[in-house]
Amino acid sequence: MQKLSLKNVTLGYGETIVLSGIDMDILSGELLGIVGPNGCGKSTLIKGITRVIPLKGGDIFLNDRSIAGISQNDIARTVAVVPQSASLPEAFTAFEIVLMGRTPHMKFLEYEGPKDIDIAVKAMKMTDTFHLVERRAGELSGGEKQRLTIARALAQQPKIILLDEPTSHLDINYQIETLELISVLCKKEGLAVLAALHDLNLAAQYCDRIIMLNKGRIFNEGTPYEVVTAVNVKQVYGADVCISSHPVNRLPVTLVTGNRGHNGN
Amino acid sequence: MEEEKKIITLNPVKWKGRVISIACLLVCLLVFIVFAVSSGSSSIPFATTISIILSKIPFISIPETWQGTVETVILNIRMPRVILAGVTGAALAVAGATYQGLFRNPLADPYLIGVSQGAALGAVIGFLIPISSSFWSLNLVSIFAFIGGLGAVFLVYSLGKVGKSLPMTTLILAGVALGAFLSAITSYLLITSGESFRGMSSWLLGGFSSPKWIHVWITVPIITLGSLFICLYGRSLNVMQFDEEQAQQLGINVERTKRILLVVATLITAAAVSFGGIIGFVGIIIPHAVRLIWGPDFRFLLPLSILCGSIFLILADLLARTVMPPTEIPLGIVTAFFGAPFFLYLLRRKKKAVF
Repeated sequence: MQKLSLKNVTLGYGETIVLSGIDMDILSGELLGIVGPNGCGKSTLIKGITRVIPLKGGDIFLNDRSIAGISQNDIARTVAVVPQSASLPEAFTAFEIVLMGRTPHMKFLEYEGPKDIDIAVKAMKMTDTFHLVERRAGELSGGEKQRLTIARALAQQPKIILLDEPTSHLDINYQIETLELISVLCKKEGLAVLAALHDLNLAAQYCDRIIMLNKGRIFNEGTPYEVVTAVNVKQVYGADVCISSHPVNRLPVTLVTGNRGHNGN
Repeated sequence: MEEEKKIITLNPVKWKGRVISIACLLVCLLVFIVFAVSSGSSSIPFATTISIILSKIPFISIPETWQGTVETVILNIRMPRVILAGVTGAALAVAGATYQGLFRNPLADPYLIGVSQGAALGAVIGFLIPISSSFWSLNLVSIFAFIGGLGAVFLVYSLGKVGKSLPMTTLILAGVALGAFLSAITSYLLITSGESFRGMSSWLLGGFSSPKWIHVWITVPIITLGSLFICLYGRSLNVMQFDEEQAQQLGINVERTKRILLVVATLITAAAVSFGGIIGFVGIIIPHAVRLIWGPDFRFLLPLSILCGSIFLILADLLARTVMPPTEIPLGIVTAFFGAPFFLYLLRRKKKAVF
């Protein structure tokens, strides 16, 4: 059982406070979605959890231990991050990049052995990137790079995985495949997943629980039915949308209304 | 079936080829050392050179069949010079590779953040201090160059620091600005220096015209230990080729690694510069040439750079002293004149992403 808890966390850059009073738990087997308008602090939250930026207040606990006392390497053994549009070193091959996901598990001066190669190959197959093995990162498309970053995170064999807009560069098929893969890992392997998502429909379809952020605070938290409502979307995003229910699974669907009239002309 | 094949051929570390390359280069290095020591204004047979060198190794006794002057030329004039050229090349190449990795910038070289400008100013001040020539053997110029190089980088480092972190862009900008400032002072001192101008400007172009064993004893330990130490950070540098944020999320203590590598790379560069002068080109081109031939993996890039840098500078120095005797061509001219065409050839041959 893995657990990541945030207690009254404040985060920001320099003098600016981006997030404050954040309380949340990320649990094994749960896919937690973070939604909110641009600039509401989704990426900042992920940076704070992995200590890329220092906490300004509150504390973060990894399995009841404050992360302040855990080495960067030990955090990386448990928590993997899929950054938004990751920059990948162009001269390295796709396989070398995925293999670097093994870094936190390697001893000093140890070289990747057959076991690590095996793990990397599996991660590449899961993300449908195995055909790219010998291609250099500089030659790949945005979507291929994004899937490669996910493969690297899987090669890290984390217990908790944080995804920052994992589907932003993907076409609709890979959006579905990626979120399917993540939710399967979440349910079968008991991974704890936090995914910052733009798309309210994807969030509603795949997340067990959704946290909606607004102006640096938690605005609402609950099941997709409770969070994705027309009133919340209007208040947080300032957008007028219709919320319908999905014809197959009844989950909430956000519909945008264009201004071209009823006939679509 | 095809997939199975792929896994079998998949050898990401490319161990064998690269280890064999390292071994071959090591042998080459030894051969070139003997070659460089034998060649010069008076050519000495290979066998004699090897015998003389071996005779100085304890527990090996070789009958003395050569003249005393030959031994003096080999051991006291050429040998320290060749060794000095070798370690200087190694230091500049490995420091260049490290800087390129840290700054994730293919244009980075060991002089990027002020070592050279600081060392140049130090050296020029060393030249201008009027102390009797017997004192020169203690090398006031070298000492001042060393202090100047380290001092400049320390200043850049303090200026570039933002709170507890060390943003690389700020560091580069601080380095460029301070470097320009120091260069201005150096240039002023140069044009107002009168008689010692020639000595100064030839120092600034690099070279090993009056090598002594004491120089070797000072630089060899610093550069050998420093370079080997940097090699331990190959994996960290690989991971740091993602951005700093991703490197941290993959478990690298980025701030600490940056600091350690900057300090060590600067130290070996300053040591190299203080006796060899400001030899350009080696630090930027050797790592790229290695990358073009063996790939971007820093675990191999660093040791291969050490060996290639060493061999390259030994050969360049050999040319510098043998092309038009008795005049010596400044080493910086030789490195660029012969190195650049070779590098351009490599660049044309391989058109994949290098960095």
